[in-house]
Amino acid sequence: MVVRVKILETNREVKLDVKQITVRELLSMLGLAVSEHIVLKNSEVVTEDDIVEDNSEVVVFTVKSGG
Amino acid sequence: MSVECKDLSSEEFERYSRQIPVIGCEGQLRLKKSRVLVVGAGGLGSAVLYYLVAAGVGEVVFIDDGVVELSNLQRQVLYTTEDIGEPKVLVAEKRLRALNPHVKLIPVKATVTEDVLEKYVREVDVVVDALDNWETRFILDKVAWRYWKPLVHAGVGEYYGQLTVVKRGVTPCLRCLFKGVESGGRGRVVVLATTPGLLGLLEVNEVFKILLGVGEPLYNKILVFNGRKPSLDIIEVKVSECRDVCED
Repeated sequence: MVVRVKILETNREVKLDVKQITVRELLSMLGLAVSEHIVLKNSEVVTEDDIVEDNSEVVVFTVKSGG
Repeated sequence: MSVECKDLSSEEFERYSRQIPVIGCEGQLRLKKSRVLVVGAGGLGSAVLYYLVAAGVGEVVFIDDGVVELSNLQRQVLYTTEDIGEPKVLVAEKRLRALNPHVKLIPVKATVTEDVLEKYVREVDVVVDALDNWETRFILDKVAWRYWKPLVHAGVGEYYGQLTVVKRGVTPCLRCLFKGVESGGRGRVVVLATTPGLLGLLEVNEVFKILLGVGEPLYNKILVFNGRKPSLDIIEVKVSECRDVCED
């Protein structure tokens, strides 16, 4: 079982060998800060406690707060 | 000169003569009759204000409580070394008036609070987020949502930035779209000089599309800019449950 994650910032795809994982755990495994990243599961915004499963299309991208 | 162009002075007609063939006299008059609120007069705000005013938006309200600092000058192109210590909105007013005296400028030197926003948001056609932290952004989002005003959002840092347009009835609110990020920000901004300039101009482009009713505003899409590659990605986004977050 693999969750495939596309990280837009680096344009790389990471395969996580899990059946399901929370968004918080996913970002932690990738070493990415929750406060600076949006996670989409099948184009839908998901948050820390949401679960991402096998076969989901996951995209992570950075958001910045500065102006 | 078409009938509609008679409503522009000859000076205005010449000033906008490279733009009128693109948007028409009707479009130029639409800009002239429009009111835009820009919240923040820093890196994003500098670019946004310059181009809104240059292009002939009729009334521009801008809010900021800061004074010009030396560390601003690398990216906040409205200000010069001589302006250090001066209130940003007053310096900006002077520069912008010199750029285009036909635009009505309303500088507001104030901390951005819900009360302050209540006073100005309801009076404008479009709101531009040129802020530097999520906490204040989400207050702005709340007030813009309350009055059904389109909100053009951008955020920047380092080589990166994002842009989207929020409109009640069409998109989720900013708080829902970016839920989870509120703990970020409020730190010292580190950013390449060009990043806020680029994203600020893209914000103005969204404002023009909304005011002119042309093209496709970035509704339910987030433009993600990466200046290192460089790349511009447009990501379609959906949010299923937003009522609890967006409604007051």
